[in-house]
Amino acid sequence: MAWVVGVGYREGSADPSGMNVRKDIEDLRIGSVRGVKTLQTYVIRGNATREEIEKVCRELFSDGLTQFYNFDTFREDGSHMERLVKDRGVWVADVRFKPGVMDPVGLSSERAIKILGVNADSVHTGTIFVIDGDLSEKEMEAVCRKSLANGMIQTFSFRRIG
Amino acid sequence: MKPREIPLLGKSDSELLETSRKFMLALNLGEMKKVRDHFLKLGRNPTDVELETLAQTWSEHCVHKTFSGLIRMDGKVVDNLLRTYIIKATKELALPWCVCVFKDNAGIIKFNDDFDIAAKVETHNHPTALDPYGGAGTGTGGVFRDVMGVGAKPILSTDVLFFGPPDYPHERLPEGVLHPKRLMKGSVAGIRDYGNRMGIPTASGGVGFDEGYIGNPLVFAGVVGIMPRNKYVREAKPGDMILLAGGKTGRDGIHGVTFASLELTTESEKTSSGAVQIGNAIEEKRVLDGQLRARDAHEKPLYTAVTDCGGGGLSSAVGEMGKEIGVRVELDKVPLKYMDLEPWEIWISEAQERMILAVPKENVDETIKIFENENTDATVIGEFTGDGKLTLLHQGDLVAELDMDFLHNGVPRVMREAKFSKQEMKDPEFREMDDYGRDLKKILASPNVASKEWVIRQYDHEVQAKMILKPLQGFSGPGDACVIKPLNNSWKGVVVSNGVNSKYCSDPYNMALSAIDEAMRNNVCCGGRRMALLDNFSWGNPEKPDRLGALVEAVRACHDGSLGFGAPFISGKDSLYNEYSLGGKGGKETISIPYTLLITAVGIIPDIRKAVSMDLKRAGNPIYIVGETKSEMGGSHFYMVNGLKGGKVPGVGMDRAKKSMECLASAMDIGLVRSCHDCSEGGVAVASAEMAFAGELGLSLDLRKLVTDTGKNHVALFSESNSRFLVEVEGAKEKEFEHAMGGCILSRIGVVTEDRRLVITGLEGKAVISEEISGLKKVWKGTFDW
Repeated sequence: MAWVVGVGYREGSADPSGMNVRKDIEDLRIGSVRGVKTLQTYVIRGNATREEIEKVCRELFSDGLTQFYNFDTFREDGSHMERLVKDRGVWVADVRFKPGVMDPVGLSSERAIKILGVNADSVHTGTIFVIDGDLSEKEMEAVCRKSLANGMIQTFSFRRIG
Repeated sequence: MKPREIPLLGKSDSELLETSRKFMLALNLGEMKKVRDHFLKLGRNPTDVELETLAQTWSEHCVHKTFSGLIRMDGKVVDNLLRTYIIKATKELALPWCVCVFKDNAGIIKFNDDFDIAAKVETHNHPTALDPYGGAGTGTGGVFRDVMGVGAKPILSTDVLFFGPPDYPHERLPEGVLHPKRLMKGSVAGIRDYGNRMGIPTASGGVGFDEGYIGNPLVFAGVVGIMPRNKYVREAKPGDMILLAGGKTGRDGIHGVTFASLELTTESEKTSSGAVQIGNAIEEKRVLDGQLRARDAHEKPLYTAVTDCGGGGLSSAVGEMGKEIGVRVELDKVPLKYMDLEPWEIWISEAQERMILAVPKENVDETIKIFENENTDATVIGEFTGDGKLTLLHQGDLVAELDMDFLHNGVPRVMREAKFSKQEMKDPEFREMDDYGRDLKKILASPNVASKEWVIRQYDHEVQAKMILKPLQGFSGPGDACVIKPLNNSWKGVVVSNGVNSKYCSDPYNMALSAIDEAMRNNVCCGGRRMALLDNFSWGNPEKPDRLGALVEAVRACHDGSLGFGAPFISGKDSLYNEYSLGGKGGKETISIPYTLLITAVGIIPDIRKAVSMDLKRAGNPIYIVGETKSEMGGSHFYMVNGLKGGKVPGVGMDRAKKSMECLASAMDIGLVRSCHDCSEGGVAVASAEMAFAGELGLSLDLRKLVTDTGKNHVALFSESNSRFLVEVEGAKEKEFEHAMGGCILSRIGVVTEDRRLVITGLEGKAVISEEISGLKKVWKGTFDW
């Protein structure tokens, strides 16, 4: 059993890494991008209950004033993205570390979750990028390859959510 | 797990080479033959663990084959480049404040009666090319562990980076190469996160750009640490236990070391993923805290020796520590991230954030307890034996048994060919102009000179609350050096600076002397003296004679510069094979980086209250220039921005330079100097503009007052002649200053003004530059407005 949590910034709060990624995409001169938002993701393996994950989201992963969270069961095919991201008519890309790559934030999260009394076998972090812009599928793939993910250490998947 | 035998006995040359390739050993035919013949005598084949251990220990990265080998040049043979030149100079100088040089993980020099300073600079180029965030971050973490490896606490991080031009067109990038801007953003983030998270100020450094770094970025990560003198130990004894402290071991960085000894190819991106690592700064902080507690728990440290696990992993760390006595390690005791690691992988894994300690049996429990209290693992994985052998076991099976002598001294010495022919370069035709304001702006905006505030502000240079002069001085001006006050109860400070200019690489001898002069004059600008030097060579493939010839020239200059300035080298490192071959393995077309020698100077200042920054202080104060401005335009930024080539690279007159530096330091000690800045890229014009906008004041200079051999304004303004300083002197103290500088080349060339303009009068008496300070600052800050 695995859960996936996505934490992003509420409307009105700055999302600096989203703004940086937007600049990077502009540098690539691919398509036209109106805005980029980011969600930090945590894939939590183990037998935690829905209520426990809710508690971890509230008390550990997010700041209620400036951030929101969504979570769902984790699906290898990436279909959880549609539930974590509420925007529609956007591209979403899910970037995660390849197995075996050191994930320090994941390791710390695992320790912290256990301190909260919640059972977790492992935690792995990643990022979901929500891209509002006019990009073809081929262009979106180029953005992922050239800017969002480094194929040496990360994998990515992307889809259009309508 | 039973060891796997690798058949070498009876194998032909081509089969041996095939084995080396297949297992990514990076051993050449001579070395493979030496291994085969050794095992022929033993009457058996090596195991995979033994072969991997030999490949690690014999790698260029670990034994520096080129620097310690034989080099034939101009009919003569240089036997060991390092000993013949660099170490020789240090030995000849025989300075009493050198505590431990060229022996341990870092160079150690005296700070005061009770404390020593440890310093080290490393490269992490190849990993950074593949993943800049992880590569630059682990480079930083790795060099921190180098000073931890002599028992010091890191107090300052310095990072010098080189990339391709940040505006390089995406469509021209070779396949498999990351864009320079992406590399720079990633590297800066990696260094920032590691330093900031560990609480070590990143306060010194630089960023340079050249098309030659497109396929091969450079990351020089350096560190300064401090330690009580009586806490330095380096004497593992038979019977001591081997304690592994810190992170768990995974497949991280397998073959990182042998990978560093290969050229990058377009295939690298696919085949070398094991060589890339991401750091965990928090883990390293825990290990550091544990180690310092183990060091200070009693009068003597709980350990008898300590070293870091860096390139080559346990294989290098344990192998090196037990080289004189012998070790026995049970590989299955090593804590793993996941279970399916093979014995050889455990042994050579370059998993980060690990230290090896030699701990006498009676101290083991107390030491483990200390690390546990810091929330990190410490595990006994074996012991030092006294039998002169490397013995490795895995679940009771013997997986390696190697003679330490063969392992460490068996590597056949290489004989390489070198040739160097100096090219006399004539200056190009250039018609003098009436106004050089536009050229000044072009140089201020060029990426090498432009403000690096975007980088510097991301680094925490305040943490530990010891910084006196920071990288940005006055109104965000570019500081020459940084000054740190390491002890609470002493005004004494450490001054750290760098010198490097690969644009001079057509003349590697003078390039190296220039780098030494620049590092030292930067140090002096802030009040530094009694300097120790560190060398870091990033070079092309040393198997190509022209590259190696240039290297010999540069190393020779290090020897001459060290003696000439009376500044000993205390530590150094080389990263060779920085070439990028297009068209996959065996491709003939290669891009070599511009030869790059980074010199880092570590000086002291007796009283940090006397430190001097580079921003102008008060209108009305006179400005002096120290040193001679010569027609040395080769490699200059003026030529670069105007697309001109040729000219003579600046040389160094060491006697005069040394005298100027000594006099300036004593003038500072008696409070005569209000600000001081060196003339380097862009010459007098750029240095004066920087001083002005850093102080929000104006400057009026007259080139007719320069001591110079030129009659041309563009040379007088932009020549990059070495050993020159612009000095703002306290108004009423001109006579005293001139007296203090007695015997130096000195002239009063102008005055600080209120009107916030830079006005430079040319050799014919007409203004050749007249610009608003605000306009100059704007172009200087515009380039990296990311």
